[in-house]
Amino acid sequence: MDKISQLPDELLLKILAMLPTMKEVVDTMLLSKRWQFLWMMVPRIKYNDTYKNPKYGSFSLFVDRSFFRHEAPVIEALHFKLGSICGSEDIQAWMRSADKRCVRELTIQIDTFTDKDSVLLPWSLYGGGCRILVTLNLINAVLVDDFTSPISFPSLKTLSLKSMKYPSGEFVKNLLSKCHVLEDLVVEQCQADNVNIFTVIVPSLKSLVMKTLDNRVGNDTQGFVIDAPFLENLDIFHSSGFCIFENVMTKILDANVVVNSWKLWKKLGSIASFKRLYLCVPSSKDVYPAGSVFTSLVHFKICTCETEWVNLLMCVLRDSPNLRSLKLQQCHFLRSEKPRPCWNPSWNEPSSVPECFLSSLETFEWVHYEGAQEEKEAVAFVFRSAKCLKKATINIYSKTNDIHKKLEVIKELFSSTRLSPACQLELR
Amino acid sequence: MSESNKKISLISSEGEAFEVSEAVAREFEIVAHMLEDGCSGSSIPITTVDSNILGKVIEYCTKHVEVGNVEGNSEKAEKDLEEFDKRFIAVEMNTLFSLILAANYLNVKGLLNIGCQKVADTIKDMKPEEVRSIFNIENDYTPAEEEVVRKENEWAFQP
Repeated sequence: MDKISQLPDELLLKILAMLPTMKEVVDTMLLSKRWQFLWMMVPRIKYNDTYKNPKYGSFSLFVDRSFFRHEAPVIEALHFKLGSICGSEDIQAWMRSADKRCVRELTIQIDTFTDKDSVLLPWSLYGGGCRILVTLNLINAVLVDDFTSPISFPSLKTLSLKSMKYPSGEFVKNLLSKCHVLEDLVVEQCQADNVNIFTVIVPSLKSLVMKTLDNRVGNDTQGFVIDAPFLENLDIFHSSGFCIFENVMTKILDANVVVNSWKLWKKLGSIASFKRLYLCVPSSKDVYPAGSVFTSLVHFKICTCETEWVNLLMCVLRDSPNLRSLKLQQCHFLRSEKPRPCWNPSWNEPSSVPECFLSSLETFEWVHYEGAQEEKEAVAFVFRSAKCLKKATINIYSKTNDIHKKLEVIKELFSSTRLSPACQLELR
Repeated sequence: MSESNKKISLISSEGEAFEVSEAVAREFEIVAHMLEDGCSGSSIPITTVDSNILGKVIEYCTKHVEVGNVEGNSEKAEKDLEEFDKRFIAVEMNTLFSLILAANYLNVKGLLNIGCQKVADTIKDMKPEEVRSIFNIENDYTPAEEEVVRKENEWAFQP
């Protein structure tokens, strides 16, 4: 027999599960008798009505039949990517069938972009299947509140809600309160999602990503409330509105904080636990309580697109005695086309050298270095005061692609004094 | 001797010994389990894998251990590793299946994944006849039998 057909079923199924959609999986039944029934046991099922332009009738029949004949006792993953030809009715029918099967990971991704065609997901349809569901990803659909009896998700560990619309903020709060073992939550809020205050009260939560994708009008009635005392990873990308932490979080290791407005940002928790921190905030005051020390902070990254970045950088350097790596980057993809708000923050020479410069800072990286005055000052300061620097990487950016300007910047950087004799300088 | 410097010999089906660091040997989950179960011998026979394939699996694991040990610069390292994987798995079919079987037996998950993915990527855009010819699969359906399969599953083969 040929080599591939000699592989044990387990491996052939693994290969089948990696095919792009169920269509390719089903097609393999024609290869030979060895393959005739294998497809029925594939552990991951992916349906995509945008893939290779199927016709409506044949696609919907294909999903009905292939799902009906599928026999694996446990479905590791069931993915629906719909929207080009299927609508609410189809997905509702398929959810009803899925409800009777053991599905561990369910993804429903809708690809239509007009409100007219929004796909409604009445939650009760999936009432029975929730018990063993471990991962749930919902993208761009409308949840409908028809809880006849409260649905709970006793096994759900990972939940992702992207561009979803909800009946109300209360519904969201209620939904999350039924997830008692949830560890990972990703929320990307879109416009008109019917939620003013997104409330996350999940004591088991370890990782949270909260993003607002629209430019909400900066009023104080919109925002989010987070109560997750055991959070370890926090990633916030918030264009406006407020953000409240109900509880001091003492376990955070990794925090990315990108916010436009600084209102009501009072309790970022106990920063002493942070190991990695990325900040892009429009203020250098009250970012964290005065007198706090980032004793665990090893990696710090700061975005240079905000007016106050120099001052904020100096504060964090002063308060992070064990920092090992520092990265500066203008990484705001949302605003990269626009000029920075203020391109001349005043440079104030710090009165003393930060402790980490004397004992721990080893790597320094700057992405998108333009050679503006305050940038030069900042680089010069790091070079002449960081004692144990081993490697400095500077990625030079020139708006006009002026080669002479670039050469000048390079020359300047090379001739700058470096306190640490062992420091390698890499310019790109 | 510190753990990271400890050497272990892996013996191929032909009896050839490959000396590797313990960290690399532990990438073979089957070996890691043996070590945890108190198997303290410094040479471990891998009787179902020949020298050529064992050498390749060791090359894969060594690279992944090396990259895993470097701190920081994670994005670049990840990209390099991806490139390495891509080159590593671009082998002819017989070797590919031997690698998959070895990775499965030795329980080297990363290698098993890229091996299976390579096969899936090869299959995905092909008609059944083309898949048969690439993998030398003998079509043991009689024309009549194939017709029955097609007919019974008409829903699957509509354009």
